[in-house]
Amino acid sequence: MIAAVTREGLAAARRTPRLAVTLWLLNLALALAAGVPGWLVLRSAIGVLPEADPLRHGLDLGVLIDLVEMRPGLLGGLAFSALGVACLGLLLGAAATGGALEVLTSRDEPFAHRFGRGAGRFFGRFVRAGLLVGVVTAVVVGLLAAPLLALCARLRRESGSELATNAAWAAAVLLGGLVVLFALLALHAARVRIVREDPRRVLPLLRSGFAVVLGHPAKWLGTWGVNAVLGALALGLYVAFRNAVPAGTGPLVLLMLVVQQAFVLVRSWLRVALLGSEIALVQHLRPLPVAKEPSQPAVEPLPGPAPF
Amino acid sequence: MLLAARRSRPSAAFGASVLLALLAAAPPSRADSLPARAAHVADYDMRVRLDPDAKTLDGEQRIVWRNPSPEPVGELWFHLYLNAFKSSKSTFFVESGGQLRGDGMPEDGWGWVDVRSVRRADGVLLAPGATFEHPDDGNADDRTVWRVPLPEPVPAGGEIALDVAFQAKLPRIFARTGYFRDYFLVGQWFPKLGVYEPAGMRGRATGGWNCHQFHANSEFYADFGRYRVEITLPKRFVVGATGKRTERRENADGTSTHVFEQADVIDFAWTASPRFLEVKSTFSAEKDVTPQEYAETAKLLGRSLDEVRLSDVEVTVLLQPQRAVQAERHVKAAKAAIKWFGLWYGRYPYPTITVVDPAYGAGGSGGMEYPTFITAGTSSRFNRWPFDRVLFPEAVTVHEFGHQYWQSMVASNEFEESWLDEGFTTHSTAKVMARTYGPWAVQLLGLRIGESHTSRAGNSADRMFDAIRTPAWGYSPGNYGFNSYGRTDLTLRTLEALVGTEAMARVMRTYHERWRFRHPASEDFYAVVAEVAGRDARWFFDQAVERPGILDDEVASVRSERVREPRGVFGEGEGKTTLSTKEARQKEREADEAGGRPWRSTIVVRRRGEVRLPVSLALEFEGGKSQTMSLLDLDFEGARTETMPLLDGQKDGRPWLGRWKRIELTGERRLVSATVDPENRVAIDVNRLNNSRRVEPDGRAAAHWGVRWVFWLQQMLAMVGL
Repeated sequence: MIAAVTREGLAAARRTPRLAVTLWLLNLALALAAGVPGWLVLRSAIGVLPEADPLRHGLDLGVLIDLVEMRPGLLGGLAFSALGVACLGLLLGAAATGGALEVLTSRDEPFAHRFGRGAGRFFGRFVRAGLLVGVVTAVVVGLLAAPLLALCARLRRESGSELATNAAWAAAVLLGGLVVLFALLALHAARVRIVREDPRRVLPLLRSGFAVVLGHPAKWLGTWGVNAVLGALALGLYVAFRNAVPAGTGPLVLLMLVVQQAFVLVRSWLRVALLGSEIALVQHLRPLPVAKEPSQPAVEPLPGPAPF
Repeated sequence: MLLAARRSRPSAAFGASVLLALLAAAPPSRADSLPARAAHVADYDMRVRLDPDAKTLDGEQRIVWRNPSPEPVGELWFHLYLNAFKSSKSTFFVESGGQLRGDGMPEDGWGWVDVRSVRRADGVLLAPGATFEHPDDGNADDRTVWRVPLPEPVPAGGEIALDVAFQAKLPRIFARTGYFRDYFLVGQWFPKLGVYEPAGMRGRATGGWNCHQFHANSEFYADFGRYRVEITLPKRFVVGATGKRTERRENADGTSTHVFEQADVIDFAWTASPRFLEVKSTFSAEKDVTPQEYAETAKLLGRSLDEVRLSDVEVTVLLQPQRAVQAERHVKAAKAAIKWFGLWYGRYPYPTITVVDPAYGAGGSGGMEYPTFITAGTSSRFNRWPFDRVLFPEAVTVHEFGHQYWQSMVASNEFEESWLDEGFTTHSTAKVMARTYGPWAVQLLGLRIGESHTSRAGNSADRMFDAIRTPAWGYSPGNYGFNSYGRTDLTLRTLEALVGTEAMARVMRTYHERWRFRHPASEDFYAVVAEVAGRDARWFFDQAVERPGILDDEVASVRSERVREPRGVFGEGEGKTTLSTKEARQKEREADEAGGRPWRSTIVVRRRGEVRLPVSLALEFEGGKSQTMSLLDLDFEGARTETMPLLDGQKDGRPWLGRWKRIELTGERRLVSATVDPENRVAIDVNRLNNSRRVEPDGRAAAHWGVRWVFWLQQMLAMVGL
């Protein structure tokens, strides 16, 4: 099943290359909206300072220390802008996911029409679903992980056992991580069904999403796992490139930019593949009922001579 | 048992030839300049029994105190350090809020020490009339200083023998000493005499007891003597202590008595735990130091080979079993410290060094020094990748060993001049770590941090409120650590740049030799610098150590443009001539076509801080030409500048000491950049980024990081679903 849905997802991604490009461009546009001002601020801060030249080749801790000393608001400003981008990203991501799912599940209209329709039509419901899942996840994580973390603190204070303390800490992180992971899977399953069935109410499909994920955890984790492995391979290639090619000159910075965007594009393509796999998985696990042909009433022959 | 540290070294033939060559240049040997023994002022003969269930000590002491002054002394002052943990009203607790180095006091983990009786050796009771004193803050609830008047004064040069009986309750460990479950680290546990300083010692006008209360930020100060301590406790415990174990007796009641002895020390601490894994190794003066290292050190210091020769030392590491894999790391660090501290400053005179790995949950007892006995600090996460290249265990071991030199042997007053031990040790530790392990103390998943980064990270314009030399409890909030440790390290590096590496090495060696087994003050170090470096650096210490203030030199602006043709109206009366802007531009074009107008370059240098040191300025011109100039000034302030030394390469003149300076040059080449202190000699500069400036911006570094920043934002967006 995992192999089959993965193949279907990859096929869907191959069929709709424009979708990967669109997602990549949206990602890049929002990143540039915060990134360009950050770059300009940095340029004004260090462009005339030769002592900052080691930054051309990579991170220099001494320069970073002095930069923070000289511009104490710089890191805070960058962090704040990143937070703003993250919030916008959550909203734009909901719209983009709606558009992507609509493109993958329908073929009646041109690409742009389908994408825009899906982005607008399902935006509100996707945001509501995301908020609900977020709140529920936070509560569940708190209820499960908090006692473990409290145990951790007590073990650290009293037990004298580094092993027990580390095990408790690891258990808390693992449990919290699993809850978040399954919540995301359920949200994805619910979103596929929202697009497929276009219901007005979100909660029943969210409940169904949790049910289908918790009922078939291996299939869901396996589908995501395969996609994650492919993503990790792409990341590994990118990291190997970065380690081998320091970007210290203008042309090398440009090369770094090109390779980075190639990686992001590949990841967008893999995301489309994952959406396609999820659509296939939902269809397998919760198939849409086949619509019955309405029964034809018996036709009685009219009295009189036969027609021509 | 561990093997001796394995070292790669040149072949014997090569080593011998190097040695012979260097011997030919070495000065003839002279008498060993290291003092062999301390003058014993306070000897302690103690017997103590530990009750591991009640966490109490029952102790008896025979103390012999010798009056080191030329006048009679009619009272004795004691430290009762454990009373700092007696209640929330102690000075320690009030100042610290019940925490030290991030460790909070466990609930109801109080400790104390009670003196049951104190008698003269002839039986005369001395406790009546004894009072608690509060010389620092007048806190009547603080019980850490105890004054005992004597019926007859101790005559000059005389001695008094006392018998003291005491009981102590150990606190739960959070501030160096105490217990955690069945692990005991027992420091500052017995009634300990303060230091009687005669007139003239450390700048005193009159003789008197130097016996401060125990503060949150202070450490300790005591006299040299001989310690003999019998420790009785259940036989299941593994025991380590100051000095050498000379005897172990098994008692009929299921206890063991361990006898430890050490002369020429200022303190005694010990540890016990049934879980310790004991690892022994020997530092070999012959095998762990190469002939080349001996020869290089002798040459650097201008001494004979005999003078730099080291002694063998028995190294004992008491490890927690779950960290057994780190044994070799601790041994290697201890041996590196014995070697380099010994070579640079003088051989380690004691036969033993014990390194204790605190129990998990008792980290508050880690990172501490006692004579011949140190506590390190580590974690099981450093057992394996990727944390095995985080040299935290090594750095702590080397640092605490370093205190054998700066604190235990050169026994400065940690209450009043913490920079003399913590800062000197930090400075020396960085050198040993770099020499032994290379420039990076942390290598973790691509991140690399050097020892110097730690000091540099703390250096900030916000540190302007304290002088380095301040009593430990007198720093502004949050500034004891940086001023005592990192800022002193940066100051000593700057001093080294001023006087030169060789001179600095000889200064430190001489300072240690001269003040080993004695109590120096800051002025004593200044005097050694003046003597050995051949120049009075008091002007430097006044600014960098004695007064608050920071150093932050900057190149505020640089400009370089072609000399312009003058324009306007020139001359008077009938002889007036006018050169219009258009005509002037025409002339400029013609000049450029003919061969180019000269360039006028203007550089503004400023001092943002109060500390002013001689400094040079490097100028880089188009075409790769560069020029370095000393910044001099015709006008100078005050007679003090007469003695200001010049940097190497400076022209004859007085260094510039103003707040800002404009330098204007005209020449054939365009100026590209200007850099103040181009060789990075002034380590105490709080910000190196503003030390240089270029005329035209270069966007490559910003482009590199701008591209990476956008990429990181893209990854973050992918995580939130876009």
